[in-house]
Amino acid sequence: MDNVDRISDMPDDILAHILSFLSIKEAVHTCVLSKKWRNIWCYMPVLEFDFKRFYQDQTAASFGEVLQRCEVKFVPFVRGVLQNQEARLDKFKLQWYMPCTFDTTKSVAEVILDGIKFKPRVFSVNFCRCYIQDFDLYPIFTCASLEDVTLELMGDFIAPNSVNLPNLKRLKISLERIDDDIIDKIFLGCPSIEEMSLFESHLCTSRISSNRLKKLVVDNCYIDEERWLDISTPSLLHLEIAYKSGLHSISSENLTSLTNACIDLQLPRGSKQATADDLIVLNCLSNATSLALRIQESKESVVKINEKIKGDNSNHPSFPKLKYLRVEWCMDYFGFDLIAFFLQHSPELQKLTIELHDYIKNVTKKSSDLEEPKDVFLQRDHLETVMIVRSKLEESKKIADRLVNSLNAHVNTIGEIITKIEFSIFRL
Amino acid sequence: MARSSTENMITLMSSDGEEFMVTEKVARECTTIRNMLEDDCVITNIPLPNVTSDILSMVIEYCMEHVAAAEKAAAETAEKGSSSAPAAAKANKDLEEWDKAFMNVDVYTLCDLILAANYLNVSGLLDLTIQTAANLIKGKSPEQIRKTFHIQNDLSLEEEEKIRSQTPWAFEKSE
Repeated sequence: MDNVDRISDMPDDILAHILSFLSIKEAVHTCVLSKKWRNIWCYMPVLEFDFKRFYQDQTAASFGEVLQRCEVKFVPFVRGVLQNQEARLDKFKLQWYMPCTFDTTKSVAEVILDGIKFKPRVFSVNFCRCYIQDFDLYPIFTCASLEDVTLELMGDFIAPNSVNLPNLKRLKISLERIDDDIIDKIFLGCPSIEEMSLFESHLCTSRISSNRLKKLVVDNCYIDEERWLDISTPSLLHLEIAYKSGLHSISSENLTSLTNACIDLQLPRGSKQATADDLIVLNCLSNATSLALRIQESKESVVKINEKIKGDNSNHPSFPKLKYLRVEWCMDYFGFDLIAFFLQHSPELQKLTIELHDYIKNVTKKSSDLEEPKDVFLQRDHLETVMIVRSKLEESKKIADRLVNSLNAHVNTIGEIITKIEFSIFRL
Repeated sequence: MARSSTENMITLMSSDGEEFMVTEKVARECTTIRNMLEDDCVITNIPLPNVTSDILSMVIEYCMEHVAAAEKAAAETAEKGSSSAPAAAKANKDLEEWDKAFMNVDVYTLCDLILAANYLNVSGLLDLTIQTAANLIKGKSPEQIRKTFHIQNDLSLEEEEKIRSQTPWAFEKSE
C-alpha cells in the first residue's frame, strides 16, 4: 500500500483543483509527470497571473534590462496558458504592477479580453502602469457570468454601449475617468450589485443612486471642485470616503440604513470659498452606529469644522445611534471642540478612540494651546471606554494628558481609559 | 462528551459496515448529508458506500473539532456581548494548529481524505487537504514529485522532450 500511486487515481477535476493552489508555472510543469498528468493543468478552475511573482521566479538579479527580457517572456506565457485552457474559469486574475513597453501593452490588452472568454465568476485585472489605448470595455461589461470584478486600468476607454452583468455583486474600479454615463449604465445593467468601490479615478459624476447598494467606497478619487456628488442609496450600510476625495462635494439625504462610516473630513486644498455648509456630510451620518473620522489636512478644515459645530444650534446634526467613534487627528491642529460636540450629540456613545498623529509640519504648538471648548457644551454622565493612541513624543504625551483632563472634566464617570503608545504614527 | 438527550443522533455507516453515531449538528457539517436530511427529515441511518471506516472516523473527528470550536466561540460571544479580539485570534490559531497536526498523514490517507471530503462536501476539510497536497508538490522537481506520490513515469525520454517542446513558454530557462 505504501508504494501505490493513489493520487493519479483521483478524478481530473480534483487534480486540477490541487494544481490551482500552485503558481501557474509550477502547475504547467506537472505535464511531464506521466501520461495521466499530461493535460491536467488545462482544466484549472483558477488562473492567477502575477508578473511580480513570475519575475521573481525567473531571476534574483536587479531591475532594468532583466525586467524587460522577463516581460517579453511573460506575454507568451500568459497566452500559452490561455490558449490551452479547456475548462470554464472560476477566477481570472492578472496583476501587472511594473511598467512595460508599448508592444506588451497592446498584447496585455488582448490577454485581458482573452480571460473574459472563459466566462469567469471572479475577474480581477491590475494593470495601471501603462497607458492602454482604445481599450474596449464592452466584452467585460457584458460578460454575464461575472459576480466580482476588480478593474484597475489606465488609458483611453471605449465606453460600453450598454452594461449587462445580471449576477454582479461586487465592483471595484479605477479608470482614468468615471462619468455619469458609465455610472448610470452600471446601475441599470447590474441589478444585483451590493458593493462598489471607486478608487484612484477622476470622478466626473454627479450622482450615485441605487436601491441595492450596501457598501460604497470612494478612495483617493479626484473630484472637480465645482461638482457635487449626490449619494442616494437607502440600503447602504457601509460608507467609506477616503483621502483626497474632497468632502466638500459630497452630499446625501438618503442614507437611512447607514450604520458604519469611515470619512476623511477635509476641505479641498487651496479652496478659499469653503463654507460651513461644506461639512454637510455630517448631516447624512445621523443613523450611524460606528463612525471613524480622519482630520489632518489643513488648519482651514479645522477652523471650518469648528465653525460648523459651533454654529446655529438648530442645524446641528445629531447621532442618536452612535456607539463607537474613532477620530484620527494630526497633533498640529488638535482641538477639543469636535470631541465635545460628539459627547453632546451622541447620547448612546460607548467607546471613544482618539488617535493622535505626529506633526506633519514643523509647527510648534504648546500643549497649553489645547483650548477647552469656549462654550461649555455639556456635562455628560457616562462613557464606557476611552482609548487614546499616541506616539512617544513628549508633545504627544502632553496633548494626551490634557485630553484626559478635559474628558474627566466633562464626563462624570468613565469606565476605563486606555493609552496605547505607538512608535510613530504617520499617514501620508 | 456530554450531550443533551434532545439532540438528534444520526448513524453513519461506512463501506466496510462499521456504524458511527454522531449528533445531527456534526453530520450537518457534510453538505451532502445536510441535503439528505433536508430532503427527508426522519432519516437516521445513512450508508456511505464510498467511505471506509478509517477515513470516516477521521472525517467525523474533523467535523466534531470544528463544531466544538464554533460552539465555543458562539458561547463566548453570547456571554460577553461581543467576542474579544485577542481571544478569538487565539482560538483561531489553536484550530489552525489542530488542523496542521491533523494533516500529519501519509499521502495515501491524504488522497482518501480528499476523495471523502469531496464526496461528503465538507468544504473546510476539502480546502485543507487540497492545500496540503499542493504543498507537497510546491518547489519540487518532477522527479521529486513522482517519488513523493509514487507516480510511475510512463513517458519515454522522447515523449517527455516532445511535451516540453510543445509548451516552450513554460519551460524557459532561468536567467
